[in-house]
Amino acid sequence: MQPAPANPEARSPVRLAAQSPLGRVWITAFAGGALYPAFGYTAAPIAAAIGLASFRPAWRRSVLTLLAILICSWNLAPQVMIGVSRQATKRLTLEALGLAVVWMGLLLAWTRWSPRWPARLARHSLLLLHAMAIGLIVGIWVMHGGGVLVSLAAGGLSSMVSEFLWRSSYWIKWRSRQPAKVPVWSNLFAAIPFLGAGGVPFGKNPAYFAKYEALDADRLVSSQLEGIRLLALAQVWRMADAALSGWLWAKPSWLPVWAVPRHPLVPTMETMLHLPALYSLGYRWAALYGELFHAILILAVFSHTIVGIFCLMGFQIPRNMKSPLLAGTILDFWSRYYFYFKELLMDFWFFPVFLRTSRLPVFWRTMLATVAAAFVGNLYYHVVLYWPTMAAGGSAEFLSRIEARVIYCALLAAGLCGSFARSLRRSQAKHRSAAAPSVPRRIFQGLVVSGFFALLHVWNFLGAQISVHDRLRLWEYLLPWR
Amino acid sequence: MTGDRERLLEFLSSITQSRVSPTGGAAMELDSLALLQVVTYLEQNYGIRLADYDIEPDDLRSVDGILSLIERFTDATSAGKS
Repeated sequence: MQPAPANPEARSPVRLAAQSPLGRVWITAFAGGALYPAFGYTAAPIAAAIGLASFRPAWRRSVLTLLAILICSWNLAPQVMIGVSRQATKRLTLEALGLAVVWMGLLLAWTRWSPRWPARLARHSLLLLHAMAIGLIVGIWVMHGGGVLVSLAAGGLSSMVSEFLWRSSYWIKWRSRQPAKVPVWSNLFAAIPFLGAGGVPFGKNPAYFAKYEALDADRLVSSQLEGIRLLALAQVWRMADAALSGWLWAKPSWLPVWAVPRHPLVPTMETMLHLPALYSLGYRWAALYGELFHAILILAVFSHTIVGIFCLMGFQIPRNMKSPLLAGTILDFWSRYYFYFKELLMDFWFFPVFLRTSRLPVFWRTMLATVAAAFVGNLYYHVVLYWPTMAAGGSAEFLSRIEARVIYCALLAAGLCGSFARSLRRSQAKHRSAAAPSVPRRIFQGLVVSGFFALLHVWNFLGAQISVHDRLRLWEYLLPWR
Repeated sequence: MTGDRERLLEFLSSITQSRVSPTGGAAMELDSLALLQVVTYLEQNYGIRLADYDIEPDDLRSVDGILSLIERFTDATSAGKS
């Protein structure tokens, strides 16, 4: 590790303290404590890895790979355990672990031998990967009906497909552009699903991590201070969410008893979807915004925790969520709300379509690429994500989720196309006003944009026995003249 | 290449509405719209058809990345002519 450059900022007391052995121990202890609410005892190995990376940055990537293997093995078990006896659990866990090992082996073999493939096959290696994944999930579906154990195993294994698929896609894209001798072991952590959920890789691939990696003591301290800030912010948002849930829906929280109402102030989304007529228009809208804020807070806690861990390990990657309620347009909200999912859709759908339609005018290219990403890509992603429900025999629930998702994706694509069209028109206007909008205008814009996403959230809500008809009826009840 | 860099910096400053550092190896904060504008800038000003290159959106998020793409294209074009 190189010595810290002598700039005044690097000599601030906080930075100097963070670089001392005691400071590094404190960072490790803080991480362990802050991660406990989210990870339970899994926080211990993560904190240990952060400690090792603080004292031995050269070990950072290898430590992360070991941690990834450990946590991935740890987390696979619950996916296949529910409702199965201890003996069967062991067997299924082994099956799931076996499949994970086979998947990783195939991925490594793939990246090793693919440079020798015929050019046409190598050019379409991503398509081949996804075709194989689809073949696998169809195979898993066929396994359903072979008894309780087989069905449960199918459910567990299929959930792993969604966890591995996008990381593998990023890995293959990365490997296809690297010299053959790039070390695999120390980059493997980027391909193993251990931090994140539903398959969205926070940090994309090793090349992306490399761009944000702290290569000197000064940058490591910056990265770790950002990590501490994010973990602390995650705790603040966790408490804010508990307070919101206590206050709006009378759920148990850290609030004192006198501050929590005896009865919920507003209905929950589930109640509104089933019985919208019970509440007045004001309550319905208040509940809708409450649900959106709740969803934003939950994702903020999760995102800041994951990104915070990477920052503490020395990768100061961009935040996943960045104040979405301050967004002035639908496009801006989408970028600020779930950065890495937006990037996934950009990388695999939007960008390729935009580049391949260069003969069309920019407006139509943008519209096509937006529909490809926000509708087709988004839907495909969720079909794979929801597949465990189907594989476990819940075809009615799966279809109900997909029906709602089709409408969600169509509405999102329409909103984004409109927002893109408006932004393109503004960017092409010769005499653009560079002045920032006034405060009342910004508040109005914020209310309109968050209102759009609050309405959209009706189609994103996953609850038991909720049909398209229920969701449409709630929309109807949100109209002022109803 | 200096002219390319200056023109690019001016263009990036106009779309991001902030001054872009000339030593631009680090990633810029480009949103989706700005990224599209970079693609169309390269297509319209240099005639680069990006679909022919192995390009990732992240390659277009640094001044050096964009300049290296222009250089690759210029080299390929001059090699084709000679």
